[in-house]
Amino acid sequence: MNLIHRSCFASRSCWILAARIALGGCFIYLGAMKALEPALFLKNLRLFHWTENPWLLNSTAAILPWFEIVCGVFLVLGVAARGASLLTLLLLAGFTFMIVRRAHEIGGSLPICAIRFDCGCGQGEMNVCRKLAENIGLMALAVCVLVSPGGNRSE
Amino acid sequence: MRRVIRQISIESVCVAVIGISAGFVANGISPRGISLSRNYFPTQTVATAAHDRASAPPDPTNLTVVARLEAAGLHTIELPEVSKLVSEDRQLAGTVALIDARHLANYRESHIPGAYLYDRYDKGADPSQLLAAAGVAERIIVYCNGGSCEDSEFAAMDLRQMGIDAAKLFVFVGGISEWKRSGGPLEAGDRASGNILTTPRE
Repeated sequence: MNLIHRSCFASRSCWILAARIALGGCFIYLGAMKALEPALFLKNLRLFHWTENPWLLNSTAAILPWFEIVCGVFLVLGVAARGASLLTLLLLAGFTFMIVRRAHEIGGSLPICAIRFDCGCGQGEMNVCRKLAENIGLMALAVCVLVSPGGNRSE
Repeated sequence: MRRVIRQISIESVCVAVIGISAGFVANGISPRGISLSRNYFPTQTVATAAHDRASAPPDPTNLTVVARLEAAGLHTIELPEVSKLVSEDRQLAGTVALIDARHLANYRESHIPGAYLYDRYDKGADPSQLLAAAGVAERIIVYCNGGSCEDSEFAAMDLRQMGIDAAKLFVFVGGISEWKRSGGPLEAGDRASGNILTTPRE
């Protein structure tokens, strides 16, 4: 037992498993928070000014939370995990870009760490720097899973 | 290497297709789902910078909001007049109809006594009772949280589109926040539940 325990922590696969579960768990939680209040998410999403097309805006607000949950489930289960991690990486990169852009728009000349707003990320109003740090951490986890040969449970 | 990239790409496409399909299905069957074709925001996005900025004080006079509403052809009403109308029990006589444009959970927590709920994002909501009251009222007062909240503005626009005379429609810009600050009475639960709460004046 001790040998198994030691070999697990010594091997990279254990860390990849932990990364998968942490990343997947976060995506399931954040997706669920948005899916529970789609109207609130829609209102927050609109404030990013990325489209004025109602169909595109509404579809994104309706689909994105479930898309995140599905990615999270695949990551936790270890099925198509590298594909799911690539998608989460792309999503996180997009979210980070949008948050920085909006923070700049809101704050003007204020330092970015002095700005708080509800980014529609499923966590309510929060400090921009904290959110960016979180996103960078999640992106690092996504990269770990993506580049790992043992990213999928079957491998 | 090429094989790995190909495999990851195929996996990504499969997960994306499942995710998008799950989103459409879940939105379609959920009572909280969003109508995909409806334009929920008929006016341009409001600049919420002052509200969101950490160091900027809120606009105490709501001048920017009032100007925007007037530009959209909507009348506004201030707290003293709303208080007077509510205290005169004109709602009971049917000459004033109050409409709460917030989410059901916020409404049930507390609303101005006698206000009708109109959650414009709830696709299962039935506005017939509200429209009947609004049809006979001389004044219809719509409110939401106040400040940068735009739901009262959009609700007033919806009512105007539903055939309610725009001259009778008033947006209470201060909203429930200002009402609470003034110590006005609040009702919890459903409309006319009789569960009246009194808030201390701040």
